[in-house]
Amino acid sequence: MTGAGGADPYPFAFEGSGGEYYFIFLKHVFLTLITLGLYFAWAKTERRAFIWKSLCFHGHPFRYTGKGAELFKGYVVVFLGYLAFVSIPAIVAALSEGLVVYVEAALFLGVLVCVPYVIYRSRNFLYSRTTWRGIRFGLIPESRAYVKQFFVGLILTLITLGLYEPVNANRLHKTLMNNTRFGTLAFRYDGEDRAVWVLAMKGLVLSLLTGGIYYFWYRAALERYRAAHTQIGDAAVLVSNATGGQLLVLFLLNTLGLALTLGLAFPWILMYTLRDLAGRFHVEGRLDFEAIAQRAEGESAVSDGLADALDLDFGF
Amino acid sequence: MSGRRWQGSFTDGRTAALREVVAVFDGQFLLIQESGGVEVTRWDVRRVRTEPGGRPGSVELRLEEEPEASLLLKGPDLASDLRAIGVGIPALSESGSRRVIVGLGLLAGIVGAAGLVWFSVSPLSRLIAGWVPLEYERAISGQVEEAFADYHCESDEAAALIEGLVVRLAGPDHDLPTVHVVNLELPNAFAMPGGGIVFTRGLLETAESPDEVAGILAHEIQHVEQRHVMTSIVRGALLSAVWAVTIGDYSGVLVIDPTTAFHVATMRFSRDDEADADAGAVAMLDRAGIRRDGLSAFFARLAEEEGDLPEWLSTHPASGQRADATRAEGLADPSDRAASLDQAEWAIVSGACEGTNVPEMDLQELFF
Repeated sequence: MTGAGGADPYPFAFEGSGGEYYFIFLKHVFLTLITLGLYFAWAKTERRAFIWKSLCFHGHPFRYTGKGAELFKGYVVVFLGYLAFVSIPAIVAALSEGLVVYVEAALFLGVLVCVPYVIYRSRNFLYSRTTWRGIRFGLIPESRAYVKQFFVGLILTLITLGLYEPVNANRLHKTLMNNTRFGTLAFRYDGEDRAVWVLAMKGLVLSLLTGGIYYFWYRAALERYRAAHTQIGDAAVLVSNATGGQLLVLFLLNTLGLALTLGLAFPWILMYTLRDLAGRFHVEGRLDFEAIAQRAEGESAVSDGLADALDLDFGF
Repeated sequence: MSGRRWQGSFTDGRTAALREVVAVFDGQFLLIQESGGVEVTRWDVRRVRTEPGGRPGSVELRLEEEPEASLLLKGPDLASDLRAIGVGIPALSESGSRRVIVGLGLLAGIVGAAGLVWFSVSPLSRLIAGWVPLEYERAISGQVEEAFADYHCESDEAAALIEGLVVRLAGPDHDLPTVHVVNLELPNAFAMPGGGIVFTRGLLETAESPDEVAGILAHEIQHVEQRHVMTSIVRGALLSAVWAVTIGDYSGVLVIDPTTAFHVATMRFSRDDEADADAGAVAMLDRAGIRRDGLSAFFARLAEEEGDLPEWLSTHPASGQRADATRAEGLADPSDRAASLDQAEWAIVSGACEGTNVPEMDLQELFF
């Protein structure tokens, strides 16, 4: 699956500067403090915009088109939901002590049931606000398969004391990837459950034997496998050349590096991490850009706020 | 400026294709043309906006009606040329050294704002705590109080004597705090939300004089009267809200676990409350005509037994300091003042739980 058509690979690159990011960070902390926290939605938006525009594919930058105001509205809705979540048991308690336990259990289950929907839709929010050459990314509005796999996988993972987890992760990844669109361009992931599971077991055993060090080699192998099985359109494939050593260095940088600098070096460490990430990936094959057309609009920001509140987003 | 041309690349926002183009200004429109002069589209310059940021030597333009389309122009003197034809250009992005100055200014602003929050949070919390009636406080501590209630072991005589002490210290007009003794070996005393005070059996048994107990009682009554418990609840809520909101998004990046950092920072306020309770206790003892050296003797004893916990990690000021602060200084001979309880009374109180049927409390119950 390499070098199909003899075309040059399409590279990724990350060009953000730590100094600029630090400046943004200082500005955010200041404005967030004096607005007693209200500014955070705009801060998050600006941070994403900076990181997105620093990332390039095939020489052209990505763009984050989300707005601070829509994120803020999303958070307000989530906050109101949280108030309801907290006050309903209190109101029930005032009316009838005995019912409270049932109401609280019902609310908790309700939140749990929402988790995969929130993951799916907040991913869609992020994608739909991401463009490249003006064309939007997105997830098709078909979350049922994902939700089903999430709960089935949860139960099976519990029953098998975790052994099912790699398969579950693979299936969730497959559903998400197959539902991902770049404009009208579809992605297809065909990684096999069995292969991934074997990789994971090998990783587990060798990690235990090497006191954990092998873990990074496992993660690199998994990344390379997943990329190699990700088709982009009909004639292109994603490639990763991650190595265990590389991931180990990144890990040390993000832990020791941060520790030794008391956290002050985090903008540069983040920039380095993203640059390294971009450098490991490229696309091989042929992409017919003229055939990739725009799709219709995306998600509301409520799911993004909810994902953040439930701690399900990726820190970006 | 008519006829002016620039090299660039164009995406129309309808497909992902990128076209190498030439943009020609005809006096009103920017004509966007591919090689061979084939016109792709034309943009009215009055509706054209520049995208901020971007690399030196290039400018990205967008048309208001088509936000997904993008024209990237390259060349020298672009900014002045485009301004000349009527396209809005934002100010040049800040130069390196100006950035540093602004950055330092922001840093100073952050420190100032943080300082403001730090110094205003305690008075503000005290103010808000004052608005909350004691009954509401009691509602908060409901379950904990109930857990303790099962282990009250003081005899009725001891309870009456302790109540008498409370009246002497706090005065008879108040809504008096209730004092109970709980069957626990560990010497301790604390005030609960809602005004209940708890002594452990261990504390009564290890105290060396009734004046120590009177001093500790005065200290705990001060916590209740000064609404320290409610204040610290309000303060905790305020501080953690500010903290979470400021640091929240970056919490993954801080090296010190944010919760720990937060706790170390707020212990300072705890220590202030304790010092205030000590000072109030001394005043209370003086007003009641009771010797205050019992309290300082207690602290002196604590100081000897105290481990090496540095003050900044502790919720209480160092015991040695507290002993000094509460010692009768420059006063007349302390034995002028009455003892809090006579020998017989002290025997009843220190043995308050002797022979009780109440079982010893299992602390694990409290922490579930």
